[in-house]
This record gives sequence, structure tokens and C-alpha cells, in this order.
Amino acid sequence: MWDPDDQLSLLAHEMTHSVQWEQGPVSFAARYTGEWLWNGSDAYNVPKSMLGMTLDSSTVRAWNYTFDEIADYMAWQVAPSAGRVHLK
Amino acid sequence: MRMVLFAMLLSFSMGFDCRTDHGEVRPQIVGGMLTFGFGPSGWRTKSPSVNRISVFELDQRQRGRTVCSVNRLTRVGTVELAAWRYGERIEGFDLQGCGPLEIGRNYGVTVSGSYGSGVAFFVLERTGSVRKLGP
Repeated sequence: MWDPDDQLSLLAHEMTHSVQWEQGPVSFAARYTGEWLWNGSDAYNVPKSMLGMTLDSSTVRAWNYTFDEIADYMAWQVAPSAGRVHLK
Repeated sequence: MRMVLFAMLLSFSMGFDCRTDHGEVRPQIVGGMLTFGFGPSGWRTKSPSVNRISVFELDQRQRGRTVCSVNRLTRVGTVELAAWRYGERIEGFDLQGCGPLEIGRNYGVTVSGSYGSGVAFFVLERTGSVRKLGP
């Protein structure tokens, strides 16, 4: 019943986390928890500096962005018209 | 010990919403007009940042035809909205449709934004009131 674009966007977001998770579950959980505690909801959305960045196995866990920013960047690329992500 | 720590971290991180929590959407009549009030979701303390509002027909508990679509023209930065009067133009948003709604018909509304998305179902009564459907 949700907005279809939002569903697609959220799916892309969560699938990105699964790739991040696969590269090391323990470090993923530790870093994700830390990022969430430190940033709260500011951990989300897409920094303008990310635009043009290529996401692949080496950048999906880039240190200069939070896991959620990276996941939202993937969501942004998959469903740019979705309402759940904005550029910051 | 390592496994316990791993389990704690896992449950801790999975307990966070990861953008799946719901914002509050309140269909109501204000000044004789259908108005949707928006509230922050769950643990979030910020006001809802709204990028998109859709009102659609609810047929057999399924999402039907979209009768009103309000889309923010840009996704740069945020726009906080506490409420929106049905059919009213918002600066910086594109509005499509949004004609009169039928009395007695079931409708749904989805609101999506950067700090949580929400959904609500409602029906307009002959008495001029609005009744929220579902939980």
C-alpha cells in the first residue's frame, strides 16, 4: 500500500546493506551501530559530494560516508523520484 | 564472548528502523476542509520532511487509481510540513489531479519524506466528517 517508488527505493537501500553485511558481519554491526548512535537520523540521505561516485564492492563500505548514506545513494540511483531520500 | 558481542551488536543494529518506520498521518476536517496532519515517526524528533503526497482510491483493500499527486520539484534539502489541506498548492511542489473526492468512497494517502513515511486510510462521511479506517 506504500508509494511504489518508495518501496523500490527502500528495497535498494536494504539490499545495499546486505552487500555491506556480506563483507564482514561483525564490523558491519559495530560500525552501523556507532554511526547510528553518533548521527541518528542525520546518518541518512545523500551528501551532494557523493553524486557521480561509482558504487562497487570497494566503495560500498567507503569510510567517508555512513552505511546509510551509501545505501540511500544506491536508492537514489534506483528510484530518484522516490520521496524518502533527499540531497543534503 | 565474541559471539555474545556479535549477537548484541546485531540485535542492537537490527532494532533500529533503517527507514522502515511509519510517520503519523491524520486525516481530519479543519475549517470545513479535508486536511492531513503529519507527525514525526517513532523515535524521530524532527518534523516530517515531505517530498511526496499521494491520495488514491482504495479498492478491495488494494491501492487503486491515484487521484491526487503532490511532488516536490527538487530533492535538495528538506521542507517540513505539519499539515496539508487537500488540493492546496504548495510552493516548490507540482500538483496533479486533486479533484473532489467522493463521499462514502474509501481512500488512502501516503506521505513520503526524509524522516519517515506514513500511510492512512479514510472515508468522507455524508455528515461532512472524515472517518479514519483501519488501525
